[in-house]
Amino acid sequence: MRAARTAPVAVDGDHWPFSSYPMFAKPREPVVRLKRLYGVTERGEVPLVAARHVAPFHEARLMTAFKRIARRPDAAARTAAALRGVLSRYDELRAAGAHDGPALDGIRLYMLTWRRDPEARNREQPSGRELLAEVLR
Amino acid sequence: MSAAPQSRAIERPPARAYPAPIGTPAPPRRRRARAATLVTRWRRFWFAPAPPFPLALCRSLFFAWLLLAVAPEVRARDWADVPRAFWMPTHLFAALRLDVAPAAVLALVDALWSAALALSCVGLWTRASTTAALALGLYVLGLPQCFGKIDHFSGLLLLVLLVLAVARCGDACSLDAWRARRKRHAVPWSGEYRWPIELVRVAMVLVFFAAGVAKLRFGGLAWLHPSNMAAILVSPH
Repeated sequence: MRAARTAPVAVDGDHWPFSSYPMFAKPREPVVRLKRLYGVTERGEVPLVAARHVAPFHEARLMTAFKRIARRPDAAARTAAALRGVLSRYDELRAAGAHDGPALDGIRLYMLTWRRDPEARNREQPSGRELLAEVLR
Repeated sequence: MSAAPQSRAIERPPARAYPAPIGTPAPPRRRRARAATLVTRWRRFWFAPAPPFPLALCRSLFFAWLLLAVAPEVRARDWADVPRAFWMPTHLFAALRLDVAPAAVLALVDALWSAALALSCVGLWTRASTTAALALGLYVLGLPQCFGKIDHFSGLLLLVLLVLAVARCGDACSLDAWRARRKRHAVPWSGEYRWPIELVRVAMVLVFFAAGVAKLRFGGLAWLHPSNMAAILVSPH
């Protein structure tokens, strides 16, 4: 078991339940890039909070999932399918009263960028916003 | 005229055994003795007799924590209706051909896991209940890892479940021990009560060691800079 536990350190990567524990190991760059989901409503876009609107996902799991999907050969089709799934999940939880978010006409996945501020004062004003994928009803 | 130099006997200190220079191979007998000492230390580290109570207490506390704090947060039932596009099984789930079961089955798995955790905590049918906790825990803890991201805390939990499933952790502080005490005397000390605790300790140390190695590999000394530490804290917000 000890050998299995240390092996991922040498071979790298996550092989659950073993791991090389690589998280937070790379030095942070001056530009922060994060994927974020926005719901499309009649009045514009609203940011979605994964833990509330798309449970049982939390933000890190959902965005890492989109990152992994983007590396696959069928990335475009699978990202669209995943966004449709997120939209239906949002609707299910809304219908069940799990959240009080507005009715959505669609959902968009963006890549947001910020120039890193030591105190995150610009967290509400990303310097860049790139649309990666969208699904509309 | 000067006198002929008088020969004087040089007084030498008595012969002493000085240590051999560094790098000189030790004599075979000493090497064997050293190896024997290492083997003895190794065995003593893992298998020196220990009382059953500390291991039993660890079992009880660990399963109580899983039951009260972890199980309510990690429910297999929650993943029944998650879109299929997110299904990315871990190597272990793929090898075992495990998939997302229907919602009713997942709810049953959650209930059985909680029952196994409760029985393991109080030490009733300990071997069977800890084995069930391991088997069900593999599925309940592993299922969320198949949806995009691996939460690293769960791996160590599964390893501890594995250790406790094969260890004699129910010999004290348990209903099994209470029932057995009516038939026999106190449980003697044994190495069986030491190695599980040491193994989990070593596993925990290796977790932090691996995390440290990763920092050196990917970040080097720059990782230690205060600005990087601050950035790690600020970036998610």
